[in-house]
Amino acid sequence: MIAAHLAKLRFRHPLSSEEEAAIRAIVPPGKRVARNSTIVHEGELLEASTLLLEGVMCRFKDLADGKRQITQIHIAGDFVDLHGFTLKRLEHDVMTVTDCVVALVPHEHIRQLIEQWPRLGRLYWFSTNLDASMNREWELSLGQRSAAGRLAALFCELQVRLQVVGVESARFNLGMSQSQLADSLGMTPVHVNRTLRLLREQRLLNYQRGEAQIVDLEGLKSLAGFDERYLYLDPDPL
Amino acid sequence: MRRLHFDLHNGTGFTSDKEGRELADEEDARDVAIRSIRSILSEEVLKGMVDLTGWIDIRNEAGIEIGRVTFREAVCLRLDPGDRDDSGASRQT
Repeated sequence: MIAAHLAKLRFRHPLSSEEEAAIRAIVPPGKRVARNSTIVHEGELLEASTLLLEGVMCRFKDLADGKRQITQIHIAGDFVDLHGFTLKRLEHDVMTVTDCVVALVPHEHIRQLIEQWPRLGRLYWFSTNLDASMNREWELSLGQRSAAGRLAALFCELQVRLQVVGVESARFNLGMSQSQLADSLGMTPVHVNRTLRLLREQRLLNYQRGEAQIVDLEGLKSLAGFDERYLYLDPDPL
Repeated sequence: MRRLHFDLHNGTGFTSDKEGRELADEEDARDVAIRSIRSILSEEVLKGMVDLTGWIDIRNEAGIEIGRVTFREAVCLRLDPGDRDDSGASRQT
């Protein structure tokens, strides 16, 4: 089940069999976590980082009045809170969206790994930089894209990220309610519902009960002005 | 808590809310409808075309309509300098 994570690393940088074995050695067996469970709470001291093996998770921040911003969506293969290795306490929460399988990798093991394998340290540094790049794209969406453009950009990104970890299907289970999509995109659920209807009528995307079907990826890319360079799919060697 | 659905009728047609939301009471439901309308209108303003002819029907799980909020109710309009802004629109934020 660590395959998705290795596929994600290998898609961008070659891994030697020794490096792969070193990563496998620090990842403990996965454990199941039910959907809608908060697994990292803001401010708590962290001694492990969460590698998502199966399912969908998200990070979010709340305002005092209860309004929520989901700041990132994670799919299988993502090292969800690798940044917790250096930050130790996060200013946001992390929760499961669907039922998930996660491996909690002790920070001490990560420290030993990157001391013994400095190149892996650079690959994981790249990985947190990539997360930051995706957050910048999220900012671009929230600040500048139309409602339809935000939805289109999100589903283009998810489709590309899934392809990176070997999921070729244009149908996938995101498991997010329209309320959660609204919290991700700075919209209200009614507005999300209306915008999804328009995308369905334009034969671009179907989304029902958490199940996404990309009907026309090129059409969605064009609507969003989606430029995948921010995903660094073909980076320079490290 | 009970699950309520917010069906939208506006210039783009009818959008049925199959998912719904868990809410404590009808006052909350009205707030949700008003916020939703304002969210849609805010995008229309950016495009330079505002359609105030729409409404949201609030339904319970049995499908019975328990309330309606019109787009016109969700915003105050000051069209002339002499207009007062307490003329009808809801005050919720």
